Amino acid sequence: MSSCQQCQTEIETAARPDALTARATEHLSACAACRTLQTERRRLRQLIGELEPVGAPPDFDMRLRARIAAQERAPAPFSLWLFTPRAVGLAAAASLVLVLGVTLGWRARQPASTGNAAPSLAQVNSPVAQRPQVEPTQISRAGVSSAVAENSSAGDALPFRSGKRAASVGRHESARLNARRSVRSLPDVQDAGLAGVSAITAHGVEDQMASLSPIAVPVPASAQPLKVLLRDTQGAARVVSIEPVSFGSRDLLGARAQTTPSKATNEQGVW
Amino acid sequence: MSALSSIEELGLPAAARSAVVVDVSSDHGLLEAARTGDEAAFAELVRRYRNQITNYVYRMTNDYDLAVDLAQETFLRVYRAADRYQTSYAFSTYIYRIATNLAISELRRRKRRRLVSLTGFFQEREHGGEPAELDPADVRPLQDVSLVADERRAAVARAIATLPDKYRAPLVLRDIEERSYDEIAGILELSEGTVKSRISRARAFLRDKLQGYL
Repeated sequence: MSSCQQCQTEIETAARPDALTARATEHLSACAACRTLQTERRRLRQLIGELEPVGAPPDFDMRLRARIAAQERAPAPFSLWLFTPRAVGLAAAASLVLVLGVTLGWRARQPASTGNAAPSLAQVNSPVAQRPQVEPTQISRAGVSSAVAENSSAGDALPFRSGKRAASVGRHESARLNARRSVRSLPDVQDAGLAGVSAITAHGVEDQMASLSPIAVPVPASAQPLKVLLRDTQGAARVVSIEPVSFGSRDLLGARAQTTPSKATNEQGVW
Repeated sequence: MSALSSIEELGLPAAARSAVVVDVSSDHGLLEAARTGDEAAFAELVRRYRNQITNYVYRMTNDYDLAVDLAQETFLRVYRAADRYQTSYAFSTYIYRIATNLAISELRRRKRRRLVSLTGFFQEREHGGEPAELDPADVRPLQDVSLVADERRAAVARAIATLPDKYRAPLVLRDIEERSYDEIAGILELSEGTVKSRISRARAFLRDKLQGYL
């Protein structure tokens, strides 16, 4: 058996099936199975040997040159260069610039944030609302410490709204506030209260007023009155209502006021 | 024993000295020259191996157009990777390895895309055997002598082409390209014993497929 295996291995690996060692040849004369294998292998090699070799076509070189030239002209393929630290850093920087650009562009397109409405602090039943016209003399006697213009967004942050004084605002006023939240009524406090400030200055409170920082309030067109809170040193506060002034268009303002329901009367809040 | 300080000390004639320095007649020398931009050297390499590689890939794929295309791709890769070529093994081993990998990759790609006839599918299910081929070989020899020879060659080529990849490559390299076992082992990156075993199995497969011609 070992002899058959050796003989078959020799038949398989020999350069030619007939080029065997003397030992294998001797074994073949006595082993029919190995002879059959030798015959089959010889015939198989003949069959494979009949295959005519094929060659490259005549234009092989030319086509190859064309492919090489085309590949040299082509852009560089995807490579591991993209994963080098330098490439990653460049990509991160480009992404950051892009994000910043988009953010700034988006913010530039946003309208100025002015809040939804100017809540009115004037109360129909409050003493302050009953006396909308603030006399300069009264202010002078009380000693004005601050003047605050309040709108819906700023008003929430003001101490007046969050403090105990807010409790003095009646339920009726709260309803009015909610009703006006969608109306923008924010005339510039400096302009709207110019007369009042001048009056205060005239009564000798320049030092106190000098410490006040001006409050800039956007001035969208609105028919809603501006509410100004005046607070004295004793903690007493008064709210005055400043009706927006639109030169020569009072009738128009009246028409607009009708479109925005308001309980304010002509006597209220008009300075 | 003093060390040589220059090649002149060998006492070789000028022609021999130049051959020692750069043997442009060898594959390594040609590739070295091609690496430095000598297009004529690369053209000589192509001229030496284009027919061998085309024939080898053709026997692997049984598709002449594909064989030419893959042979060109083989040379293209040699050209691109000339800088990375290492002379630790023969250039023929190197180029045959590239061609083998390309051919096997293409065969596997085609195998995935190959359509299987419904008839073959149902025959397989009914008889439990292998699926019928789309173009089965007619094992009956034709009567005309020339046609018989053509048909026999075609049958052999088809039989080789239907061998499993791992048996086909060593068989073609050994019985058609007549490469040594050692070189085949280098090309296929297998041990010599594995190569011998696979060639033996491949011949056994062929014997079964070509029973009518033996």
